[in-house]
Amino acid sequence: MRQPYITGVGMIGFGRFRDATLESLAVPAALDALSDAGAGASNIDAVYCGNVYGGMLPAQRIAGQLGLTGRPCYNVEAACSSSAVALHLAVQAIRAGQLDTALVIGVEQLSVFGGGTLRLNESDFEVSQGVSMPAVYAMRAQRYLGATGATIEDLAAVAVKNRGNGARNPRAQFRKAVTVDEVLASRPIADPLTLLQCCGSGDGAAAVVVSSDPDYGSAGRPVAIAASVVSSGTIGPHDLSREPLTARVAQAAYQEAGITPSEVNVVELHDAFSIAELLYYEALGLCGYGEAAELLRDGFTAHTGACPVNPSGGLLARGHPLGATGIAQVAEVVWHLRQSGALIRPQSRIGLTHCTGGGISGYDHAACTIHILAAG
Amino acid sequence: MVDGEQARLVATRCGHCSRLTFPPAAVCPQCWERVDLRRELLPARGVLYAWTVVHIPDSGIAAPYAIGCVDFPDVSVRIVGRLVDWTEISAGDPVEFVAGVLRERAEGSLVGWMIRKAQV
Repeated sequence: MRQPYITGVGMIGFGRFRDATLESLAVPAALDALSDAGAGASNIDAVYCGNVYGGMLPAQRIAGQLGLTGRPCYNVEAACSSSAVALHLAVQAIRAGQLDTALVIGVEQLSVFGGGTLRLNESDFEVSQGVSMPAVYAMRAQRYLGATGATIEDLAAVAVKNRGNGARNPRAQFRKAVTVDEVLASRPIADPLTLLQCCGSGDGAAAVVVSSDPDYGSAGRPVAIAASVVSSGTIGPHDLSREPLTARVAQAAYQEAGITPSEVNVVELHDAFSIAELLYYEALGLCGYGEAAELLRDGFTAHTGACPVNPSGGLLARGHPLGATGIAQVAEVVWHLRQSGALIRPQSRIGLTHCTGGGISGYDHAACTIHILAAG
Repeated sequence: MVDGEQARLVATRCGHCSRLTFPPAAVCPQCWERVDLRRELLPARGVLYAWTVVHIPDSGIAAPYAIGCVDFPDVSVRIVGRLVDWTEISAGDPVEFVAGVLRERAEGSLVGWMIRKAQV
């Protein structure tokens, strides 16, 4: 089985660009990734695109503007996991020897819907009741706080950390540091979650070149994809204070990479809401059940900590244009690993990206994707 | 159904593998039985597992409104629904279902089940 590498990454600054098009968002990110990889059009064997709300054939629409026609184009939808699943499919094809090099794009333009919560499918019987993504995570928070003794201040501390990180990231949509008091005083969305504990609505695009040839990408150290795992959740009454789908996918990813959670140096995870980050610390094995708030308080996951989590600002601050998120996480981790050797992070070698996707009845989550990246 | 009238929810019981499925299914997701699926009422009462007050209005729903999950002691089904009233309710309380208007729109109201604290 051949080893795939990330040889180039690109990403536009996330924000709200109502006058843009899906193509005009994606093209600059794709060009940056191609340039970073030193890849020409003839090197790209296939184009993969993760997108949710952009209509028909986004991969072909973007590829057409880049002259990448006459080759396989794949359009992938898996809610917030869309472009991470697209990368997984490219990795599988490279591992199997079906292609050598692919361009993988994640793109989304949510500003065309105005604002507010995500538009879920109203024919879904839970959605028809008024279930929104904040409501789902709010109930998780209610159960988690009740079961573990974590507090609303602990939830707020997640937003403080990630929004502080976002303030340092020029590509982040929200670049303002906040305090615990400001987070708790922001307007209520779904109890106990307040506005600053919820990811915003916005637009963005990111792209990577993934290749079997590590010599592509003279711009940086080659970053190997050590694991790429996708799964769906299960239907039934779940303990909402736990995340069994992420735990299952993480276990498979660690096994595939041949590492333990303690060897991970940096994580970009799916903090769509503050509570999610605490649940995922535990599901990813960074700590035991009920220990997430303490891990956060100890600074273990701070940008200067032993294992920075969401140093880019995460979904809360970098922004969460659904289809763009999976590849944006990979780009951020690659940049982080390339900076290894700098004062703050002398020996970051292994990074993990994690995103889920939900919004339909019954499932704990509909999709979960984890990639483990290893710098050479 | 009359608004506020107590309601019972209907599931399907597979005659082949005994799996109970909600909402009623045309195919048993456990054994793929398509014929021997019998309608069965869910228990009249369940237990409120978790709930939250939502402060953002949705299409045809005024804010604030409350959403909760109901579990049953012996049935592996979780029902999500709106709470009729949440001023005196806690997770763990026994609850039952009533008919109610879920969304009010110009083209008509969407009617379905709602959750209320079980009446003594």
